Order: sequence, then C-alpha cells, then structure tokens
Amino acid sequence: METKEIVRNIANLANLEYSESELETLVPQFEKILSYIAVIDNLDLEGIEPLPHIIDELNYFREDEPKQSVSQTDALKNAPKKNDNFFKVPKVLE
Amino acid sequence: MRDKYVAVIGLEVHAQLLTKTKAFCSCINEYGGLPNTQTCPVCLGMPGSLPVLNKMLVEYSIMMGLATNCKIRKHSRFSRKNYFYQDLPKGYQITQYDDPICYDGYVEIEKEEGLKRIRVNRIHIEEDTGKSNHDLDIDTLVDLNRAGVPLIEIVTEPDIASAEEAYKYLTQIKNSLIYLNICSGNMEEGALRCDANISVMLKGADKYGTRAEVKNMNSFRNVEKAIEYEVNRQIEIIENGGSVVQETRMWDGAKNITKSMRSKEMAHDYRYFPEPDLLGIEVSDEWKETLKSKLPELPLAKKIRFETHYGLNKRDAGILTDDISIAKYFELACSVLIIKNERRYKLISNWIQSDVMRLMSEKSVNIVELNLNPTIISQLSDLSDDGVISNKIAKEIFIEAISSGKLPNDIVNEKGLKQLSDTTLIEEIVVKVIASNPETLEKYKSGKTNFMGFFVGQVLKETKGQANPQIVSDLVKKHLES
Repeated sequence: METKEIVRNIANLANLEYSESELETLVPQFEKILSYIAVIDNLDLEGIEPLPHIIDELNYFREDEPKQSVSQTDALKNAPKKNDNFFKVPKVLE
Repeated sequence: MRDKYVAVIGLEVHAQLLTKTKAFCSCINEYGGLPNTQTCPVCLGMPGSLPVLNKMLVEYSIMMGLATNCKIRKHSRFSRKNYFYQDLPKGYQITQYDDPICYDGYVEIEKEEGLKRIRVNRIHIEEDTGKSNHDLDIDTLVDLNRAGVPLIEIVTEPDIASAEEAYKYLTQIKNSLIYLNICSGNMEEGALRCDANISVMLKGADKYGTRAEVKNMNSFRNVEKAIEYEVNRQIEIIENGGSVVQETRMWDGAKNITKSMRSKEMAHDYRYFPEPDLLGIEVSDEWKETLKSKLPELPLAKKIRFETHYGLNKRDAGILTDDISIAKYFELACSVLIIKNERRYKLISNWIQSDVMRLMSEKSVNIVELNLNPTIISQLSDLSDDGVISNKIAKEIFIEAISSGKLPNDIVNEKGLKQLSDTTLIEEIVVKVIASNPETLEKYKSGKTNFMGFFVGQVLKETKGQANPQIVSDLVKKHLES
C-alpha cells in the first residue's frame, strides 16, 4: 500500500480527519517512522517465540469482593455532555 | 424444494457471569442499578487506571468449559479488540483472541434417533460494554454500569442443522449455566445473548454456502423463528438464481423478518494485540481437578437418570429437570415416601406438574419461594396409593395443608377422612340401604337396572363420601343380584 493510503487508513481507524495538505506533511513523517521500525524485518527470528508480556509472573488475581464505586456525580463529572443520570452523545443510529 | 438443501448453523452465545464484582475492577456486578452508579476509574476507562483480573471469573469459565467437555488451556492471555463506540469507554474491549481458556468441546442434544453432538469450538472470557439508549432523548444516552461485566462467549462449530436443534442446544447451554449457578440465563435482561451464523447448501455439497450473521434475537423462540426465516430466505435467493451476500442481519421481532444492517458493514479491522495491562493465566491440573470435583450433575445426565431411576417418561423427566430447583424438590419428595416405587414417583411428578406448578404461577413465585414442604405431596402420594384417600379428598387435603401448615397424615387422622376400604363395614351399610328401600329394589328386580346408581349414591351418602366407590359399587351389585 502507498504510504498516503496507509496514513489515510490509520487516520480513519482513529476517527481522525486530515486535509490533503495535512496529509502531505504527515506522509514523509510516517515514512521515516516506518523505515525506522523496518529494522525488525531484517532480523533473523527463526525459532524465537513471541514475547506477549515482559513480566513472567502469572495468575495475578483479585478476590471477588465488591468495593465502593465512585458516585454518579463523579462518574459523570468529566463528560462534555450529560443529564442527571446519563452520559450524552450525538444520536447513534442503529 | 426445501428438501434439496441442508442448513449449516453455528451459534455464538454470550453469557454474563454471576460474579459479585466486574471482570477487572471491584465495582458491583448487578443488573438494574441506577444508571452510572456502578462505575470506577477502571471501567470508565480513565487514563492511568489498571485492570486486575477477578479470580472467580476464571473459575466460572473453566467450570463451563468442563461442563461442555472442553479442553482447558494451560496458558491463556487477554487481547485488546480495538474499535470506537460510545458504549466502550476505553476504545477497546478486553477479550481473548488466539488462546481462549477453553476449546474443543461438545454439547449433546436429544434427537429421536439418539444423542447428537454439537461441537464447541471455544469458550473465551471478555468484558461487556455499556448500554446505549436511543429513545429517551434527542441524544443517545449511555449507562456504563454494564461496562466491564464479565462475559464468556461460547462458540460452536457449524454442526447445527435446524432451528429445532438450535433451540435444543440453547436449552442445554442455558440449563448448564443455571445448574452451575454461574449465569442467571435471563435472556430478557440480556444475561444470555445469541448470534447465529447461517448458511444453506445443496445436500451432499462439499462446500458451505455464503453465510449471514443474524443478531438481536432476545428469546429462544426468536432464535428459532429467525433461523427458520433466514434459511428459507437464503434457499429462495438461490432457487431464483441469485447469490447470498455475506453480511450481518438484524432480527426484527415485530415483523418476524431478518433485515440487513448495512450501517455496520464497513470492513472491521480490530487490530487485536496482547493486553499489556494483564498477566497471563496458568491453569494447573490440580486447579482444574478441584473445579471438576465441584461440578454438579448436568441437565442431560439428570434427565436421563430421572427416566431410568424413577421410571418417568421423557416428557415428565424433561419438565422436572428443566428447572434445577424443581428437580431438587422432586427428589426430596421422593426420598420421604414411605413406600418407594415408580407408581408413587409418577404421582409425585403429577402433583408437581399440576397443583404445585399452578400455585407457583398463581403467586408468580419459583418453587423455593413457594416454600411448600415436599413431605406434603409425598404423604398425599403414599395415602392415595395405599387407597386410604380418594383423589378428590387428596385435593382437599392439599389445600388444607397449604393453609394450615399441617401434614396430610395428621389431617386425615384428625378429621377421620380415611377412605373406607373395610368391606365388612361397607357391606353392613349396603345391606341396610337395600333393606330400607324395598320399592326401589322391586323396580331394579323388574329390569330397571339403572336404579343401581341410586343405591351406590345412598351408600356413599351414608359414609359421607369416604367409602371407596369401586368397592361400594361391587358390593351393591353383589347384594342386588343375590
């Protein structure tokens, strides 16, 4: 895929919109990042297991005991739009 | 034309688990709370908050895996499924991707020709999303109480061949979850949700047809209806020379049709990657065995045992084991019978299915809430099978036992309600009744044999309805003929 298409696709997945001129700026920056990462493609990874996590520890659990939740007021405090009980977002059509 | 085709169906069931707290935080997991009162920085997706896995959630998932004959994965992990939606505060759902905790199992369903296996591809752990309401306001309203509630997703192989099989499979899954006491099974409240992947192909074809995924079926009956509809729709398209489109379709319960959800048809790219905020799970053999030893008898096994041990027919065994508390109640009542035999087990089954279930529905309660001493129906079954009381008296005693809290044996003794089976005593009354009605006797002797009913009635009246009617009728006949 052409770099411009990659940028457009990623912007789309992140719900971001860019103008053509912004894309012109972003494309070379992206290419730089991608070529930096591309070093990995040249490594010989034959027989090396993926590392899903850097910590080896397993089974870090919490007991199933309820603790106090935050108040409704606090829960809604940072919402840009709300009513007495709910978060409000622009109408989502099913 | 339908006969040329076979349906190929796979089901995905989401079950909310009955843990006390959410999957990754200590907020209470309870349906029906005031909106946005059961949240915290973790389930609100606040930056800097970290999830910690609920141990009970892992145990419940393993239990369901064992109940569906799955292998339990020794090492499994969580992944992030990334997408934007207003009910998903973090912008990703914590789920399991390529290493689900349970895999390669099966569930058996009963068919006329025997048991059929529906293979279970996987069971994985994930978190529920919040809930959106589109109808109360000009904006969409979001309640995040449900965000982070623990779910398991149970995915079958495409082994289901009809709506009826789907219904039976779902019943097995639902009852297993309830027997394990890990999910309420309540579809109306969304505690159990089902999506279906449906395709059709010509009989004997070696390649599956194009499938459609059907969502939004919020009851077992709707799942049945939606599958019926969708199978017919696809056959019709093919018969008319068209081809089925791979898409997601919604079940419209008001119109009884499935319809395309084009709005959600954009290509999904969830960019799954390992969840860095959670460590892996390791299930030791010892842990697995401990959980296995705690598993209760499962629905199908119980049903088959009810048929073989109690001699019940399939229908009775099905009704009694459909609800685990009724099954328990039945066994409790049977265990206190004085004489245990299949006839009396059947009597107890009849009592439960008639009077007890009617009381439950009248009071809108379950059998536990009904709080009816099982000894009552056990004693009634003993008493009527011994011939001590008639069916009519048994029903009266049942009502009295409920209102007074007394046991049937005591009521029978106190009131002298014992049905007269003592032939000598009845015979005396028969002789007396015949002797005191010479005119009617003449009529009978002159050929008007329908007057026999009059004598039987008089004897029953004399004994206040306690005489065994069959014995009375036999004795009356004997003395009239002599």
